[in-house]
Amino acid sequence: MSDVDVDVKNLFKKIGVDEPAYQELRRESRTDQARERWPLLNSLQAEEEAAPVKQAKRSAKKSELSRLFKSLEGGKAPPKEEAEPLPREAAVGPFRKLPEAGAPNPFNRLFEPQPPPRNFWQSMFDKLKKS
Amino acid sequence: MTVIAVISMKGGVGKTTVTSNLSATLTRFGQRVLVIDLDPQNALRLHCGIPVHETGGIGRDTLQGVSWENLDFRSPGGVQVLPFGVVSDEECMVIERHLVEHPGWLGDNLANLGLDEDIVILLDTPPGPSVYLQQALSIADIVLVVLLTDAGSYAVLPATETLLKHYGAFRRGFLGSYYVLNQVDASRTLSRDVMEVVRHDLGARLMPFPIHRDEAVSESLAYQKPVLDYDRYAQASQDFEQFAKWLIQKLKDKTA
Ligand SMILES: Nc1ncnc2c1ncn2[C@@H]1O[C@H](COP(=O)(O)OP(=O)(O)OP(=O)(O)O)[C@@H](O)[C@H]1O
Ligand SMILES: [Mg+2]
Repeated sequence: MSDVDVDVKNLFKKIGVDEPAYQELRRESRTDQARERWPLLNSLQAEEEAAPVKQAKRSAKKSELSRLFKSLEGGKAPPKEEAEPLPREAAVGPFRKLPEAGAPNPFNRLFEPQPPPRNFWQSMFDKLKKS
Repeated sequence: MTVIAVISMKGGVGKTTVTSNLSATLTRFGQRVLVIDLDPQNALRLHCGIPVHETGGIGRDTLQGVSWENLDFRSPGGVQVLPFGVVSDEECMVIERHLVEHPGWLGDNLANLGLDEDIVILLDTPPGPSVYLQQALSIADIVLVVLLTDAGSYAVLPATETLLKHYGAFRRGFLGSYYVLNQVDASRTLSRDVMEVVRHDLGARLMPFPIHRDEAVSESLAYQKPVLDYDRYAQASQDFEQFAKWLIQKLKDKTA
């Protein structure tokens, strides 16, 4: 740890900020710097924070997404309010268009009971089974 | 038995490499391991030193409607291997249709094998959502998500979390999903920065030993060997050793 770090740490101590909180601040600033170097990392974060649900939590830096990450830890189900689907704005990539709450997930439909297979499939399967 | 699914949203991130090398290292540490290839690419067998001319596998057996118990492939290091098998595009569509109609396909076939309780099963999966991924997630006790330290991998994190959340992450007895960073290059600022951001977001769900980008990994594949046998002093060999020890500890925590 550099002299500056020690000084800053002592200063925080004087004003009543404890060691873990100080370390947490250092960590946050490192993470922010890492994001700021790369526009995409930064905009993914910005997009996440733009979701209205999270505004209230901004000061605690506990974004919806990181709560979701933590909630999945060890497979424990999160408390009720955390179990809501990701806000649509936070989702990117192939799942960007998340269904409204309660609506079936598009991926799910793949696995729902299918109508009886068309003859084509059945005959193909039988044919391959025999060969 | 404990089932571990190795998954990723993006292709080519190293799922098959992680599955094969992790299984070889676990076996070296005395763990009994079965690896199953759920990807019609059928590449896992090559990583596990199975002769190229072998065409059998779970895909073929599914088409023929027979059980998997006659598949007897073993890597030179002692990992039991169930390849996907060589199938045509047409056959692949038939298999996938069958899986849609039989959501218990994987679980039932494994139950048929009557495996001992101490066996660890590693499932290699194709990238992104698929019927194979669905089958894997429906029975997995642990999920390992492989990520590269690039912006593309970071961008699909929310989608991955949503997927995990929808498919089985809260089943009774589920042990957790963890992220594994692969091909980390600490000399690159972007690699370090993505690692920092991901660490911040994932906390304890990030497997704490990133796997470095290491030429020995691709060279070892060209020799059809796990990296540990190809060059035991390579950085990646050490990474996989730490990874395997971390996982063994997780399994111990489970039984405790
Ligand atoms: N740590 C590493 N260092 C160097 N090369 C690596 C490393 N991990 C993987 N590779 C190389 O990256 C390529 C892709 O790896 P692999 O086939 O395991 O990815 P995958 O996720 O299984 O791909 P797919 O999505 O197509 O199934 C391979 O050539 C492999 O040798
Ligand atoms: Mg693969």
